Amino acid sequence: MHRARPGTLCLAAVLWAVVATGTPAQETPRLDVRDVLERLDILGLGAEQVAALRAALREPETLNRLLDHLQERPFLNGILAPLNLDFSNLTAADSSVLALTYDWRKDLLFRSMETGARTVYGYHLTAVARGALTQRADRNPRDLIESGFSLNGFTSWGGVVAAPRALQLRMNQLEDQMAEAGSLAELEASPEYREFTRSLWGRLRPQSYLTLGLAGELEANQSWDRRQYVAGAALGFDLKVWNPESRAAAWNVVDWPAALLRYLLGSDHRVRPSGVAIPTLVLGIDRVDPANDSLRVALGEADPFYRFTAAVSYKSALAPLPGGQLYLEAALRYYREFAPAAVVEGAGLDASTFFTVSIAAPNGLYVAYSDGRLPLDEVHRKVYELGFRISF
Amino acid sequence: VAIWSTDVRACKTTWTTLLGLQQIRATFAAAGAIPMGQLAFWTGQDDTRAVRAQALALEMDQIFFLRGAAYEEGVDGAIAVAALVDMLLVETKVVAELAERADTLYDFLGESEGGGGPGDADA
Repeated sequence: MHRARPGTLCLAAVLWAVVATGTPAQETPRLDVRDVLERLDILGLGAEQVAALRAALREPETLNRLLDHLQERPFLNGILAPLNLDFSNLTAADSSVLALTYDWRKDLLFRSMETGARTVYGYHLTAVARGALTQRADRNPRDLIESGFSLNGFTSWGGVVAAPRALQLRMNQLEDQMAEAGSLAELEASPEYREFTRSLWGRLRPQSYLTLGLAGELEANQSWDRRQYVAGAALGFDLKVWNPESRAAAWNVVDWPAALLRYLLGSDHRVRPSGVAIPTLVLGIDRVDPANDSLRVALGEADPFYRFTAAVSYKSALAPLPGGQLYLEAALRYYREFAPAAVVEGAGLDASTFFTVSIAAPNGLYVAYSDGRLPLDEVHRKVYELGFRISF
Repeated sequence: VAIWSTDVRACKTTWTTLLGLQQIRATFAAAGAIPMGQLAFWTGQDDTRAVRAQALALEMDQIFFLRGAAYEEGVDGAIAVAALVDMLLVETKVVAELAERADTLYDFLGESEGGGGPGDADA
């Protein structure tokens, strides 16, 4: 069983209250760190020191490190375990805001069966919750909160070819020797590594994974004045060419720029696209009930509508670094309403696209660029991010 | 804290499996501390991350069998794959914890010959 740290939710809430202090345009009385410190006078801090403390508390790196300490506190086990939280600065053209993003996904039920040597099928029932919260809701450039359930069937075929017992024993011997390597260069130059990878990769076949499911979700913006209920069907597809020596990997044209970067960075001795970096695709058709969407209600177009959705993600390793690898990552989300009313189309609510690309190091430092808007966000933004990410 | 030792077959086989699937690129000594968020399948996009994790878990399951492993008593493919997916989808879980979980699900080839589970490493 994995360990959960729901207590982190409590600290996250406290941290969030601290971070949000002093934010203008908020009518609700708030806890202010400076007031607390000055009134209690427990530390004898001067105004400059208090200001420095407050500034430090607003840095994503500081906040994430504080959250990270909570990993040592396994308050509860179970359902909250697959929770990821990040603090980051989101910088649009007109403002910069501190954001807390969260995502949680839990398989409540999972069943699978094998129909042959390399084909598996099954189904799973899943709960999800995800979104981004910022100091000021009206400046949230990722203003979409989603919560719901899905029931998915899946099948996977391809993958591996069985190995005889003699080869299995030989691979154990090889990995015993490989495990003693003192450096990555030593490992990858060793004859044991070459023999092992040749043996393994020679038995790997392209794997195709297909999933089809039904989902129900509540979508809302942070201020909760725009809400809509969504029911739909989604088709997901993931193809991986696990053997890097396979010619099929060369067809992954999306990865050519990354392949060139790997070559230029010296992490690969030739320009070779990766079959592991083939983008993953999820397509869907949703029925959306926008009865609680204040904007659509104001337009007089609050009847349910159908929309097409697409999500694509891509990630490719650029170079090994201590603690992991330097990665290039890109993602696209697209929404388009079928047969929108003229007033909806005129208001630009019939379609939205959100694209993001980032380069991230294993120490948590990342730079990212986002362009577009999500369905309940009223403003198209270009967002530059420089952040430090630690999740728990 | 999960045990990460060359004396544990589950650790070594999990490492070489992730290495072979190009999810990590690190020595055995360094691999144990690598978090799931640093594996190649992990993506910031929630919709596709789950799809990628499930595909990877199924592939790992097949490679463990290619390497001669069998399910532990009371474990079947659904239990094993679901457990691997649960581990893969926690960004801060590390490879050592994934190996520890795999050790409870699979009887790896050679486990009982000095390359056993965490209990053996402690001995």
